[in-house]
Amino acid sequence: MNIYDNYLSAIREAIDRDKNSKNLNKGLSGFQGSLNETVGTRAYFEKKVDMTPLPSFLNLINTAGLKANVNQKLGEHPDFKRLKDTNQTEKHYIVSVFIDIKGSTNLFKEYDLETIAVITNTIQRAAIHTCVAFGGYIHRLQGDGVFVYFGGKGVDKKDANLKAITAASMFSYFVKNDLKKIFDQDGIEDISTRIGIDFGDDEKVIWAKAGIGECCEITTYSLHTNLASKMQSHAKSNGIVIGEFVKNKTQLSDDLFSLVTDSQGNVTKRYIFEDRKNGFLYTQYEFNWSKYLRSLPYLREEGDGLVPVSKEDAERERLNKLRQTAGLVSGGNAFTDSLRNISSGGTGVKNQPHRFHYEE
Amino acid sequence: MRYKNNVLICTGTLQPEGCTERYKIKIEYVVGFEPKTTITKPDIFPSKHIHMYKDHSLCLHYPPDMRWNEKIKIYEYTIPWISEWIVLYEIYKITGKWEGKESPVHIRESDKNINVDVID
Repeated sequence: MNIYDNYLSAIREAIDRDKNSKNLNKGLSGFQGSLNETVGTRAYFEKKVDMTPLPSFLNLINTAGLKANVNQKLGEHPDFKRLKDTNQTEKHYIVSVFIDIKGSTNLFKEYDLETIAVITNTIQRAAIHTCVAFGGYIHRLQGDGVFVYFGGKGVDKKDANLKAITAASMFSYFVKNDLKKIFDQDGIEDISTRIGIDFGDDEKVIWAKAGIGECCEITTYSLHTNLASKMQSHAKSNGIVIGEFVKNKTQLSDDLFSLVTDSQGNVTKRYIFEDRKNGFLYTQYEFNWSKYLRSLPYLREEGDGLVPVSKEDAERERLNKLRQTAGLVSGGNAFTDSLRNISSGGTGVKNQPHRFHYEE
Repeated sequence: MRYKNNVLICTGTLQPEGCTERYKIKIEYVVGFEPKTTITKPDIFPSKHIHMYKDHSLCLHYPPDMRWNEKIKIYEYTIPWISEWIVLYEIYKITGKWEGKESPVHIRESDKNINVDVID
């Protein structure tokens, strides 16, 4: 089952209600109000949904052994919320993720306000649950978008960065593929997401109270939180742009990253931040989330979307893949490409025959 | 990359597709002699079953099959062989069996064609 199945069902049901309601309203001349509002939307919002992801997504959490942070409140990172009642500050690293949904205005051309409320709410729920599943803390909701922190005390920095890009990648897949299938049927185009991610290390992030009195929140003061937001605006449709420090921390293969280009394919803005006086030039990268998702052992893309893969199945698949590679080598049909991957593709250098040895 | 006492020393990382870790590699090369290839990370328990010596260097080929000379290119031979070694080691970690081609016999220390400058 697609991990986003429950979210997609909620959207499909809202769209079906919308259509049925319009058909009924046509037949009932003089009827005041929307049947859609009366029948469906109220029920949707009355249904209690908490931070626990919906069952289809829980499958992934269970099979991948993820630890979701379901006990959290908006804007209250548990490691720093105590600062809210003090005038103290604290330096601590954080990964900032800005997720924006673009093009939802197009929904107004096709659907009732009630339907749009359900759709946008469900998309936002999917974003929240995806981040929560990977240990993210929801800091703020901005329109259709979400601002999330990853990491905290006792959380490995590399792990926090990896989880941030994994959550962002999965949500991008959901919007680009799953949602697209639904909206294409109604001729709605250009619903997309743009995501910016950056990592600020311990000395570069101050946690403190922002605001006055009751109008306050705990937030981070950091160049890198600002840059995450800025990079989100540099992302292409359904793209993820990350900062250089995220690339370094994740230690992922270089082929997953490329310099940010404009629509003509030119690199016009390599550095998202330039402080030439201090010799600090900070590069932004486009992240190839699609390729990255294919490398995750606990996920597989099937006809109807992303499905979870158990550890046993993942290990079996990995062994098969490795054996295929070994087979190419022993069959004399292997080539090693510039990324040192072995394939039969005919690109790179042909692997030379040899035998491994050992001397006592 | 650095050059010291006639030895060219290069380090880098490799992670062929399907492998769970990035392997840190050190290659020490003296022109005309077989490069010494060492896995510096992760920390692997050496054994003859995986063709790794106690100093974590690899035995990537059987010298009687091919005598190394100065015309043989590292990027055409050694690097792809290291990728192969990693793939086969990852299989070994799962199955406990080396599934790559192996030499028929073990040879003497003196048969090694590695320059003495790079032997610890």
